Amino acid sequence: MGWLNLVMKDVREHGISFVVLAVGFVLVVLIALVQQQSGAFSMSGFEVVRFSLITIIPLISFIVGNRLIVREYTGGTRRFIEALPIANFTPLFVKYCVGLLYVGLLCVAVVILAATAANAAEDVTRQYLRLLLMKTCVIGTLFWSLVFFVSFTGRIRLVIYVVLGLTLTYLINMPGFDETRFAPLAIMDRQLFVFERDLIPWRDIVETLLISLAFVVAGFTLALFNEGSIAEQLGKPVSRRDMAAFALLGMGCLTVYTTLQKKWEYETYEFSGENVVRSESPAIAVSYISADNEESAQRIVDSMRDTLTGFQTDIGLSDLPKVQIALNTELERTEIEPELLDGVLVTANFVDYDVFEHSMLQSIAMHHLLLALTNARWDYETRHWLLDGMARWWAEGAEQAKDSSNNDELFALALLTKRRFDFEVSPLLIWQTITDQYGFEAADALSYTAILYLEEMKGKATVVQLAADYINEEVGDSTIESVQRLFSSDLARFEQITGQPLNTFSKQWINWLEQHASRPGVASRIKSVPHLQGDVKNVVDSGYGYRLEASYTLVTQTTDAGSAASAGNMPIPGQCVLRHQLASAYDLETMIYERDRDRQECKLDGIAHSVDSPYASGDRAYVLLEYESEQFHRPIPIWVGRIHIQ
Amino acid sequence: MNYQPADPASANSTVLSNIASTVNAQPIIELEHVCKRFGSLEVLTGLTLQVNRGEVYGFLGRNGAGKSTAIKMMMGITKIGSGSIRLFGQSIEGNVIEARQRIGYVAQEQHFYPWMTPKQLSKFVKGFYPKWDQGRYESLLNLFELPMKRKIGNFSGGMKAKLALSMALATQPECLILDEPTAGMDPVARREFLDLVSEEARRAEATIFFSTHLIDDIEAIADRIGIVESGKTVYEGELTPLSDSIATYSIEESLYRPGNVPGEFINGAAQVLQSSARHGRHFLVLQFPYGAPKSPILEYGWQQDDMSLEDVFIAVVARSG
Repeated sequence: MGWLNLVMKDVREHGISFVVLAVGFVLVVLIALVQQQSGAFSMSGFEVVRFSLITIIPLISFIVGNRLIVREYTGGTRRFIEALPIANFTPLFVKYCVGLLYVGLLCVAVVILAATAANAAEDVTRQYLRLLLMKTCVIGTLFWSLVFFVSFTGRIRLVIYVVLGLTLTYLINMPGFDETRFAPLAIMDRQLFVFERDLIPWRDIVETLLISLAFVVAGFTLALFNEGSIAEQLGKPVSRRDMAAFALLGMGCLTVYTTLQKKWEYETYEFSGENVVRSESPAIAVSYISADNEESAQRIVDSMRDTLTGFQTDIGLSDLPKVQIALNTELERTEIEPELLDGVLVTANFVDYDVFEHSMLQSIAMHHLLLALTNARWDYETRHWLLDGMARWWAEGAEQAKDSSNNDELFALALLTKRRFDFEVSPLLIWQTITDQYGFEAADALSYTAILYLEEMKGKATVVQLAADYINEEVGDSTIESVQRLFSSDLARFEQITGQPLNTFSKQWINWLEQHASRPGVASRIKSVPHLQGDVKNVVDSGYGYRLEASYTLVTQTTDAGSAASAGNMPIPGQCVLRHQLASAYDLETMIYERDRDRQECKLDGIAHSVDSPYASGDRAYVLLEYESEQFHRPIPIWVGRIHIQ
Repeated sequence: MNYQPADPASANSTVLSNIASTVNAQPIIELEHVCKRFGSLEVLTGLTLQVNRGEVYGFLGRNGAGKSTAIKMMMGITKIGSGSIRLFGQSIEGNVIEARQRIGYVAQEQHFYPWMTPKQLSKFVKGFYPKWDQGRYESLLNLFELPMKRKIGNFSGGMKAKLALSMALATQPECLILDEPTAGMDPVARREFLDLVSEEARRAEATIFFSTHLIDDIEAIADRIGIVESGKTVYEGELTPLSDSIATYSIEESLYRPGNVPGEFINGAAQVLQSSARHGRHFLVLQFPYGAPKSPILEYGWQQDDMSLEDVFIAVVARSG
């Protein structure tokens, strides 16, 4: 049991340091979790897991490697161990295992902490946690394996780390190089790491583990080669000559970098052409290309001004970020591309929009206006439903629009979404999943009805107060102030302002929503949509090309369309559409171009869609099956998923 | 008189003749034509020696002669280049762990964990040695007046060497291998240390392999010695026959002519180990295969000088170098 003695020796030698390091790690993660909630452009608490993996865990791995391995060489204690009656391999193996276990525990800890912080308002399923834990531990293993190897390079290890870091940075920023196609960077993809909930990236995981194994083998080889004399030589302390060489190298690299680096200049974004319709207060500008579109542009400015003025009055803001809308008639009608750019910039094909589409355009502009006002802090998952709902609520003209046909369509869409998704928990608490699975239109509709219910129950003042609380929120200037925010979670804030816990509110809102199913305008829309279930497969055809094949089945016959189909009166009215594109987490919220769309009759027997796939092995494709009904402006999602092309 | 210049072949014959004299003993350590090279540096060029059960074997050589490399190979720390090493009758290759459990090893430099106390050290190492004797360890620490609960990092070099010896002896070794353990010790500590080693050897009938470049250490405890120079054995056998076989003669430099000899010796042909001049006199160190004549009749001007063991060692080493 010599290995156990070695383990116990390492525990005795480094135990206190490791505990202190772990406590520090937990504190940093907690602070990061808190700050994440108030950070710009942060979406989810689980982003802290990724943040930890690319910052703290490598740093801790480095420290652990320094203590476990480097000190044995610089202190010469390795020679004491090598004379003991134990195989030369064993002490190295024990050290690798101790380090791996420690880093692994930290990986588990960060996932648990993030889950604990997030589970109040995010969809934390066991499957998702398993997936996240698996990816985290694989990356942790990679870091530790790398550190294990580099630690044997002794005094040149810092140079190796710097070179590795610079190489990685260069690769990531190299134009034309898609780093997310290669393990391990593919696992660390900014969006997929946190927001991929279904697919296990087996290939990337296996490749990453193989890279880790290569580092481990290299570490053992270096440590044992020539009786460890190379590692021993490298393990000697840094001499003044080494220091001077490193300093010169560093200064040289810095000089080259600063010489080549282009100076960053900030240019404000503003329409400068002649074809622009403007409003000074609030600041709105709509640009168009053809003079034929001036009328449409003017209409958008007018309706946008009404919405923004109402919002400005409600919240009591003296000034609003500039809203600019660019006409691009080459886009599809459904394509609306928003950005935060010196305020809000929305690019859309808004020619000949009807009332519903105008409302949608305004909703998207409002959504980004609220983000601009909160420095994108409202994007955070636990409060995202409020952002979506309130953007639509103001866009719909607050209470004035309740009885419009817009309302009927939004209620019908919300109820259809509820029908497809058997809510075991409040959809407001699993917003990411709702958006992911049913698209932002469905999420908008659900959250809009929730805000309407809140308004009906508590009055407009409460809705405005809730919005103002986020808009006027002061962000802590210090870490202590950020930590204090731990005690004001979104759930607590909702309860404090509305006087009702979110769960209770959510149940009541769902019941209220069901009551609207019988409204004629709502009921007729719901009945027009068959309850279909879709299935998509990636197949390899006889020519070894990839094809996407999709089929449909009817779940219930309760709708007009469903009854017709089941009675043999085929086909189902409306069109079934397969859309697909290369996957990233938010692709459902971006447009999928016409070329990647297959529109067919909704066939219930056999394959409904069979399309050539442009993807290569290893790609992830985001695939969406939709039902297009004349009663709805937007297609109704039937099936959404990511397919790993293998 | 006729005398011959020294040559390696004759040195080897001396070695072999001495090994032959121990052929009936039970060998504990056997090295045969062991070579080792680090890059272009040839450290061992054919080391051959044999240590028998119960012997105290002094392994003598200059700094850099290859003593530590040879010991590291015996311990399985360094791989053998060519040749063979057998410990307890078994090849070291493939039996390193078992061999190390039967050997008490005191390295040239002590690399204990500085944060450990002797007590923690025993907790750590006893799991590696099946015959670890905690009582013996503690009594040795008491004997050496080493504090059980003081951090080893605060120990002096001598204290660390004593601690290493205590640890080595607590394993109840069948063989004790000491690699210049007294280096850096003051004379009193050295004597204490050597006395203990000697006592232990007698008490436990352990075999002791003792590497040093200090002749006094060897003289104090060694039964047999091996002298290594330039990576190979140049003498192996008992110390007395070696010192008895070598004698130094000198003559005034002005009277010396190349080829002059001190006299006619009836004991057979002598080898010149060293011929040098210093302080106005010319010295000849001769080795006699059957022992130096006790009262030789010398030629005019020659005289026989006293010779310390150190002189003997230098002469042997100088010949090989």
